[in-house]
Amino acid sequence: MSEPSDDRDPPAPRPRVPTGLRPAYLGDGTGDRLLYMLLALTTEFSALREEVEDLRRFLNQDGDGLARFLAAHPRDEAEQAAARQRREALLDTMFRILREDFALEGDERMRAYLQHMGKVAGR
Amino acid sequence: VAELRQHGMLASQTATEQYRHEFLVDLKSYLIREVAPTVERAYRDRVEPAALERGEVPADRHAVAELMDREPEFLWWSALSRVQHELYVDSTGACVQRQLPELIERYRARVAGETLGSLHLNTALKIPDYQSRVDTHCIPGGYFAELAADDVYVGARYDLGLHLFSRGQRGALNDRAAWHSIALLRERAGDIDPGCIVDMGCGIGNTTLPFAEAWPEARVMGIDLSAPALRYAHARAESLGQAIEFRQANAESTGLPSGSAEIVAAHILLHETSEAAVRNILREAHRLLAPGGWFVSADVPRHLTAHTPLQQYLAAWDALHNNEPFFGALLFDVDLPGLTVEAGFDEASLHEALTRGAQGRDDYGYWGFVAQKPRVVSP
Repeated sequence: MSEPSDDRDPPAPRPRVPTGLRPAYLGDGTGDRLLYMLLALTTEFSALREEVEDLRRFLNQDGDGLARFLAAHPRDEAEQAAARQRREALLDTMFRILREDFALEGDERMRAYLQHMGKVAGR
Repeated sequence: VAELRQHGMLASQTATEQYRHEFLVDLKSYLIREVAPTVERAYRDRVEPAALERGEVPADRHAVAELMDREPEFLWWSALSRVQHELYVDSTGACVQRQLPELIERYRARVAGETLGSLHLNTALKIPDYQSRVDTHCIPGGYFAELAADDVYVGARYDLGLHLFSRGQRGALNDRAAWHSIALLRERAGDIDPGCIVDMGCGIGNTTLPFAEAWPEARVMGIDLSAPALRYAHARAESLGQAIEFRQANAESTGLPSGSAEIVAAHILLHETSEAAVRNILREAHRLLAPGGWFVSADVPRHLTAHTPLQQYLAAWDALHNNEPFFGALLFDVDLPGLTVEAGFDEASLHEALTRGAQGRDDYGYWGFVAQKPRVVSP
């Protein structure tokens, strides 16, 4: 029977790169990286677009509530820092693929990837 | 389409996370609906006619691969599919990681003190190569990432991710495959009253719980290689009020007593192993079953809905491009029901069935088969 551990250390970061090399479909992989960045950006854009919709619905309940709120409550230092962090996080999401891919060997990626998968499959 | 049923271990989504996931699931559907047909058109209108003119007849999916692997339509489809998948896994992973300390505490609270079921982990268990050498489905860390003591990350991400990805088509508790198995068993085995049921490769227990619901008097066991999935499964089952015995074990060699079960089940398991492992798993199922006991498998039905070499080539995309190296061979080249008979099951009892909806392109039907261990085993 398994008992819970007494270890209360915080969790490690989750792994973000699966085993094997990343296949390159578009040229030498440059196109794949750009595609990743574009779709990551689009995902964020879509989520934000929906949040704006939510805010709009909320504010429409209260006439010109947004304009009155902004006039009365300019962003303070902490809020500006939080906004910078959000922008940093967005850039981090976009450029992650470059950091990770360039950490790997660059040549003959597709051949090596297929060879690896073939080996795993015993072929 | 079912709403995800709440239970005590389920990870939640913020509105932003939900919107990200909804976008990425919509993107997947869009790719299937709008981009995949461009691959089919390129083959039908350009690639196949040119091959035929050269006197080449693409007879199977391997021959199609030779022709199509560098075609721009296929490369774009693959690049888009791969990126969509990576973003989806990373986004659901971030969602679960955000609340992981709380999920671990929920696990600890659920399993402390008296419980309905039990969890038996085997830290010495060797993970077979076909699982340790690839992160199945390109999910970083595979089924075995351990981020903290008592970690449940793998299970929590799987439960949430599967439901969102399938748009609820796998049931409110991601359990539709098991209900299909139970229906098949009832149809073929009649009014059985199993004393013990073993669910092989149970993962988070989503396919295990329906057996306890269907046969409340039975001892129900779920076995799996993944400790973090089993921890999650145990706490999940407790929160849903089900008494399940979860064990960390290899389905090829469970260590359970011979002849101790009346039903052995495997859901979405066989295609994630190797052919050698499938043979071992079927032999192990046969060993575990008492004479007259039943084996049931439910798996993805792609080989039954892909009829042409091109369709089979596209249906097996996951084998090379989504870290499922055995997927293509096991579904298209190996006769899994036939291996069941080779393992000692009664050929006359063997029965295959497709669930409703499994004929479509973008749905989640299942391919199931059942087989009975002979009542009298030949010496």
